[in-house]
Amino acid sequence: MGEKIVLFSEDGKRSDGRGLDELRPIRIKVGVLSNAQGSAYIEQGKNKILAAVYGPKEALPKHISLPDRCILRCRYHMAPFSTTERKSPAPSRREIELSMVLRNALEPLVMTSLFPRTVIDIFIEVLQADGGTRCAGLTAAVLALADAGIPLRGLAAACAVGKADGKIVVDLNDLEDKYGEADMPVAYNPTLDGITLLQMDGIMSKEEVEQALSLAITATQKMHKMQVDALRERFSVQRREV
Amino acid sequence: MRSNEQQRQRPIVVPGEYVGDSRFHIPGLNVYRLSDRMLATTVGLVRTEGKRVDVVALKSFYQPKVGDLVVGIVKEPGTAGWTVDINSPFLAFLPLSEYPEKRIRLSRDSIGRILEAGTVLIGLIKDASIFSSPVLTLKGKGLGVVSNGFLLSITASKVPRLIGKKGSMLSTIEKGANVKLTVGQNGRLIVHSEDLNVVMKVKEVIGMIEKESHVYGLTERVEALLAGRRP
Repeated sequence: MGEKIVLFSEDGKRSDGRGLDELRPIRIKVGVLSNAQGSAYIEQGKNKILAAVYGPKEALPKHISLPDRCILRCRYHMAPFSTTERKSPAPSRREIELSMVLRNALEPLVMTSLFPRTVIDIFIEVLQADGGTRCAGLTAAVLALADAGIPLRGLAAACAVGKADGKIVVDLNDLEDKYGEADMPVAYNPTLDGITLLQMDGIMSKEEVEQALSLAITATQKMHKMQVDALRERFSVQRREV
Repeated sequence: MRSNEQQRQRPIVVPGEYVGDSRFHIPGLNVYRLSDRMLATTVGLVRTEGKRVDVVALKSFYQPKVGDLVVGIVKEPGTAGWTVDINSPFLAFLPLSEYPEKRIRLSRDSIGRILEAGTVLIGLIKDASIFSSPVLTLKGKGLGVVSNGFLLSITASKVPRLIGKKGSMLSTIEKGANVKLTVGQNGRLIVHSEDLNVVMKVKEVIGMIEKESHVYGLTERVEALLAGRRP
């Protein structure tokens, strides 16, 4: 038998000292890369993620283009140095799947019909991983799209909720993700009041899912405010002193 | 007419932000309707003209429109014309028939020799639809290949501000820097000068317009910059 992992301290705090519905410290910066059309960087706890957007541009080879809308290509990738042990830089099964999941989550936000026959490339590069990278990646990717000037129906933020030691927790860290009972990433768009990503791994009762979902929505609304502030900061003018 | 103070404080809206009630207003540029609400689609500044509400994007793409003057760069010669990069998500097509040379013998001249890849040209959008590539023409006054000068760029949504009301901003820059400029609607402009100092000065002004077009008193600051005073 291995050692039991303790996820909660005696006073009910989580392993990193947070309360049950508390988010990790988040720092967002938009427009960090000058070569990409749009970019964003997010730090959520120990997660460090860069997102970059190119396009819309002519879809090549031409046969992949769609006559009535643009296509989205998404690449989620973890850097070899993002984990405690070196990760192979080749795209793993998980990364290929997450690229597709994120693409599907982002597509309803983008006004794709404005740019027929074109393609938008989205790159999400995880520099340091600490659980919940798909959510943080999506939060950054939405901002990179907005920074690129691509018309969007609204901004969406994502946050994982789950169950650890029988308690519903928000924004799971790596430890809770690995040793908890369930993990449910949720991406929510407050403008349209719609969920654009919902996955679940593990077992939760119906009531627990409902409770987790409402906690996730509250958390993503908080993150949405941070996204708006980060975008405003990017575009507000730094006037020179006279 | 809005007061200066109001213009100075125009807030930046972000995608999904409420910009007006669709029962009383009409959605314009970069605005969409969601039942009674009108929401912004890009980061920009709200402009209301009568009933119409627009969001002037702070960063945008050029959407080709018939009759627009554009500065293009030849990307690739094809069999019946050239594909031209017009700083837009869509590549334009310049057919041989729209090249001003009257007699082209394809047996003698290859298309790639008439206009090489990388050639800068001033063209007019002759045809644009969502179904096919925009078509360019070089036939017309002031159109054709650019042989000298410098190419600068600005985001397409700022072109109207760069030109100004009835060309006022453009003439201020032209007079101030003593140079002739050709501004394409696609956000590319040509500085007709070989003098690097002049080009750098114009570049600085363009950078200022791009960054500060929504802050009150731009014309005064541009004038001051051109006169050599730090605004």
